[in-house]
Amino acid sequence: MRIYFRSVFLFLLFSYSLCAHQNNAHNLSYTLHLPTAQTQKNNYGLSQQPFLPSIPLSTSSDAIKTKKQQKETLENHVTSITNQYLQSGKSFFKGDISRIEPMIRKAIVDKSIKKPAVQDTLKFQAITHLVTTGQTDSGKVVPYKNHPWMQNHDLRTASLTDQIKLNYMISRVSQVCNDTTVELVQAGLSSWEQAHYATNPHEKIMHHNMYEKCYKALKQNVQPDNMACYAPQMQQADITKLLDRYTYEINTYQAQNNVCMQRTDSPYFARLEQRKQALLDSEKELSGQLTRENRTYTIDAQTVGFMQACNINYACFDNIGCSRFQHCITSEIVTILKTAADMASRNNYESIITQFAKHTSNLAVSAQQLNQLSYRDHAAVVLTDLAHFFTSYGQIMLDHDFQLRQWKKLGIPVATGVARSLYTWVQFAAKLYDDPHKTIGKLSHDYYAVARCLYTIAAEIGRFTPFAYLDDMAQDMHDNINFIQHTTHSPPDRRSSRMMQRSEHNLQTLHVGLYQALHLGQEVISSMLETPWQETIAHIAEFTTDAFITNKATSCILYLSQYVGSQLLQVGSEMQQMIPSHLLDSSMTFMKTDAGHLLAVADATGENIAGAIAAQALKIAESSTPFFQFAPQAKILADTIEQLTNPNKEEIAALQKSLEPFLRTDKIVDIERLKSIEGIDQIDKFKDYTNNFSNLEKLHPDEILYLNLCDWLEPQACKINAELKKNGGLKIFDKASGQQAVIEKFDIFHSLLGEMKPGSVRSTTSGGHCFLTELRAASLSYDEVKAFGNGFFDMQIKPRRGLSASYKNQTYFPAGKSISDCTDMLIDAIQKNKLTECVFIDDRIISFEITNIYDQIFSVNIESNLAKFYPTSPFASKKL
Amino acid sequence: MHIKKYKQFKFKINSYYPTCPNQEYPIAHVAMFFHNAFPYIYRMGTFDFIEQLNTKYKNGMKFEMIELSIDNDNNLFYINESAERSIQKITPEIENLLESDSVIELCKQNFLRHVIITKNNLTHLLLTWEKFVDKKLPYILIYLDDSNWYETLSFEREEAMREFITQHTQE
Repeated sequence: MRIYFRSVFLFLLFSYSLCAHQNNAHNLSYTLHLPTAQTQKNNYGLSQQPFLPSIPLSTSSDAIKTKKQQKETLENHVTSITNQYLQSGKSFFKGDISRIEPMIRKAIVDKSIKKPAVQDTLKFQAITHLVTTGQTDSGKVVPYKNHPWMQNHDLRTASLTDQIKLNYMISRVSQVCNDTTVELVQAGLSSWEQAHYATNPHEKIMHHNMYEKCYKALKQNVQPDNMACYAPQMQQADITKLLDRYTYEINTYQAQNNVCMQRTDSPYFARLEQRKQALLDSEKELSGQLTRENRTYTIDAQTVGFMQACNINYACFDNIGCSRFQHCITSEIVTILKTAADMASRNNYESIITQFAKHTSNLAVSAQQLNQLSYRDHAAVVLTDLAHFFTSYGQIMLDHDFQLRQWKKLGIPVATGVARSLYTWVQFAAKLYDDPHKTIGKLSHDYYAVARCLYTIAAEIGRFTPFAYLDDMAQDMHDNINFIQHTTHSPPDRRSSRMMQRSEHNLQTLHVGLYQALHLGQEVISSMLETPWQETIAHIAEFTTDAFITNKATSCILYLSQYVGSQLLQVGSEMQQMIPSHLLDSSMTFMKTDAGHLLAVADATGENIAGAIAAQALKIAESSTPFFQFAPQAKILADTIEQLTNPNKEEIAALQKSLEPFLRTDKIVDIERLKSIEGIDQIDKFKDYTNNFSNLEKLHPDEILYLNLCDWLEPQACKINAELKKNGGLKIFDKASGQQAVIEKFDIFHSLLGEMKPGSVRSTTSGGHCFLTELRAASLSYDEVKAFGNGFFDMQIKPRRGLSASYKNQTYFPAGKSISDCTDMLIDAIQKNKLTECVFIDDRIISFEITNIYDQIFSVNIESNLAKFYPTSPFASKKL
Repeated sequence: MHIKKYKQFKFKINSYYPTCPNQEYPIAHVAMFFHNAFPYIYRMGTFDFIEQLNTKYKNGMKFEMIELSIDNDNNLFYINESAERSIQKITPEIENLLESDSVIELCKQNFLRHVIITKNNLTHLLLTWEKFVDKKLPYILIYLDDSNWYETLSFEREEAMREFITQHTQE
């Protein structure tokens, strides 16, 4: 919350300074408060003030005697209304709106001008005409249609006020290369976008306020100062601290790898060497032995275009008066940006690779901005190291191997694919710490170690974030850290104890190099979040840095850390599970066959690793230990329910056995089978969302699990409903009220599995009364659990993801009851009931409650002969 | 006192059932709340539940057919039907409001069928119902009187309940 309050404070401070300036500035007001125009409130309480006049409502023609008079009056009326549009819009427009005159005339003639809908249409037409013909008071609108940001954003849904403001922002950025202006414009555009897509009012208002502040700041400052104008010089103490660190790391690396200074293949250590030299030169600059250099950095058009499209500041390379070390960092950052732009250029704007490249570039730019501004805690250097790390990941794992990963996710066991996958991971590891000969076991533990570092960094950011969705993400990461700890400290069987030994050793070697960078990253980020930057930076740059750069850097790191961390965790787990234990101590060699296939061969035994993995996979499939992300949560939930309801353990084991092959959160077990299921609304929604399961990247782990369980449920649901149909349905009859209904089909997906709508969380508490522990643990948070007899119980639930603050009370069938057990119980209750009551009836739905011979009540809602059902909580003695 | 709307309940086996299933708004929502939600509230302890409406449940609580949403600024409760039951076609606007859990906004825009009741009134009804349920009194009447106050009374005999209704519904 600290960062939130700090941001709010800064907004207030900034607003105050703007207001003070506005007193003697020319009129910048963009809203007209007209006597007849009422301020409207939108759903989130934000004012939407109309800026055009209301139209005179009197169109009485009583006084009109002749056709000529009538015509004159009409024309006068049209002119009058048109002028009012022009007058009221003069803050924006300087043009002619005669094109809409015929529409005004028609509206007057047919007397529809009084209608609010017609007035709205006319206003819309007037403004659209002015905007699209570029008749604004500050620059043309039309040329900015070609700005890359505009190309990727559909503004048709934005209000016209927003359209004009956004166009103004773009017009500002198209005129100058001042980095503060660019930063303000980009923050404004980005805030507008985030406000537009915010899922709750709190975040919407926060982003909207930021957007307004940026707009006003741009209106106020014709040419703000460059951020770098106020940067302090790099001091000897900064140089000494970095020199000590680099010298230590290089020496340790050389000692461990026995390489001479001139021959190093590790990009990381090559960088350190360059930086060390730049630091030595910077020392000479300080002592006067060398003069400072002014360098210009040319960023190619493709990179600038990519940065513009992604709203990334491309004007922050003004390194006048910088030290050689700063130049060195800037050169590295320019390379990162170019790599990211290259990566993005081969993929579409929405693709995950482009998103990844966008976040990496934004992180690199934040590093560059800090490189120009301040050296506190060497934040710029640390962020640059992180940007290098993420770029390497993006290049090796995402870009070049994207197709391969898709195969892997689809579960296609191609030997070449396995070998290539291993090859890319080994390459990635080699890039990280230059030890391509590490054993496979070491490799997986390194990935765990790096994932843990990344999660810790991300969780640190999550601790401060005011945004709920990031909180939610951080929660997931804490779970994953626990999972890593759980995995690396599992009970000491022979294999895990060896693994732990390896892990200890690896952490020592990793500590130098990447691990060190990540560890420093965590410290620097904590410091960035806890200490405001204005202690070291003054003027408008202070606001810009504090409000934008910190937030930008932290949100990028959060996204990237979470993404890469989960990938590393997953691949680490897969290596541990899929590679036979006797090969974990072996290093690998890769070779190409005559047919061009890649083979991974274990150095120790000469075995083909892909073949060994295939054999292991078969073993694992038999023993059923798939990757299930929510295992710890499911265990806790299962224990809680077991303690309270004392369920039948044999039933639980049987249900578990049938579920096990489907309990995966990392992949869809059988995509083809899911594709072939038709007519199930719950699955169809996912088909639409993922383009018939071709884009699975969008799915959350709980959604993947849900789809797998849909696959599990479908044959059972079909069988039950076929049986029901065969028996002619079920008739329910309430003697007292005379109400009756026929059930032709059970909505088993809704009633027993539950709802899950892709990309949404609210529906996860709807339906789902069969107690499927893993799915409930993956998708729900729960509070109180109350048992009330015969194994039935109530649980207070809410979606695990998302913002819902209120719990739902839900009753569940006893733990261990299968799908057919649940439907059998209902059928039995209907056939041998103690009581049937029709409780509510409306236009669509008729609700019955049936009490079975054990006094358990079942509610059945019937709509068009389709029955949704659930056990319900009866009144019972509090003692129960 | 004049009864504007009413709903009768009868105790059978282990629950109170409305004697007529037809929906008469707005009393039907209050009736649905007591039929569908009160068993949960009763089990968790009615007094505790009321206490926690200011803390743990300050955003309200959902039940299978009915939801309780709280407008803390105005000391009002919204008893609304679940979206699933109330809304036939979910537009993007409704979807956004549902996703952000803006139930009161949905009610205000009449997307969800609901009834508004003051905190005092609902608290009174909950505490009174608890007493009735403790004693398993056979008949309960909930009604809306001419001062827009929801009241509840219990009866030992159905005839007595009907007589009371007759007396207070005549003009």
